[in-house]
Amino acid sequence: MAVVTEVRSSRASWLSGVLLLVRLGMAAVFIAAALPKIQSPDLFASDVFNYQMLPNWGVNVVAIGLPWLELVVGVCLGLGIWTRASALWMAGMMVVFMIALASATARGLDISCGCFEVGAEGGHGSLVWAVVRDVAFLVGALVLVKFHDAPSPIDLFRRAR
Amino acid sequence: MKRLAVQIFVLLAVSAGLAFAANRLRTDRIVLQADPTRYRYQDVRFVELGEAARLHEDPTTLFLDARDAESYAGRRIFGAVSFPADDIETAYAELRDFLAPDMPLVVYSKDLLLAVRAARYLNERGYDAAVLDGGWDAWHRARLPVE
Repeated sequence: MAVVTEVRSSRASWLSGVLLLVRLGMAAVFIAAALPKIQSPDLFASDVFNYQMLPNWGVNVVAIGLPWLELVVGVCLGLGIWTRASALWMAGMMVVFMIALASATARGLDISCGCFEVGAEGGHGSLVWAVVRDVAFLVGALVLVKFHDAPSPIDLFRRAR
Repeated sequence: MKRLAVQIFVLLAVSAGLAFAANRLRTDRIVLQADPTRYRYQDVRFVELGEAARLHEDPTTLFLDARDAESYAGRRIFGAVSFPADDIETAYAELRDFLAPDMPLVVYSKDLLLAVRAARYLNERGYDAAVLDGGWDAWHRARLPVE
């Protein structure tokens, strides 16, 4: 019985560690994606426009609002504030990004992704790679939706005290 | 479930609030009605429709039509002078004696690239040319003076 308890405890500790890494990784990804867009919303607007999916006002709304949503959910997730809601936003954004990327790829657009840098040159294959990457991020977000009670840095800090 | 929905909404509301406040504080803010293609041309100054309408009433400002001569002959912004970007050397040769470096110039076209090309050409020669955001279509749609 003691051995079983010890194995379970070790497994739980291992899982907690992995979930903490996923949480911090996803938070870092979203914050890193948001900052260049917040810095240069005009270039991001140009990137969004290149997808040819939205009317002008829609492009501008996305260019203004999306980076801040990425930043807010990234910070909340990293700190462990409203994890499930933040992760759901992330998953939703990933689905939208993948649809946009797949659509651009299907239409043969040679544009830059606008994911982590803005105003970059397009490149063949870069969108396909971005879709693959977003699938991984979607999985990360869904894992955090499922395990929203996973430890956060704040929890660890409280426990350490 | 209700709590989750509230949290989702609050995250959106906070993000939107921060986004629009930050945009408002920027000098290079994004204008909702602006043509996003203009952001590709960082080296050219743009004027919004409202400012252009105000400049149009200022007699020292000259509006230049960068569309082809045929489009210009059809309909144009009231008082605009033809400056077709597809034959820019000839257009400039005909117009240069009437231009002054301190004269505000507003260039427009149907195709943004043509207006940008014309504005760049003039700015490289020391003039003060800006591009009308939204171009001919925006001006026409707003029912501003045409002839």
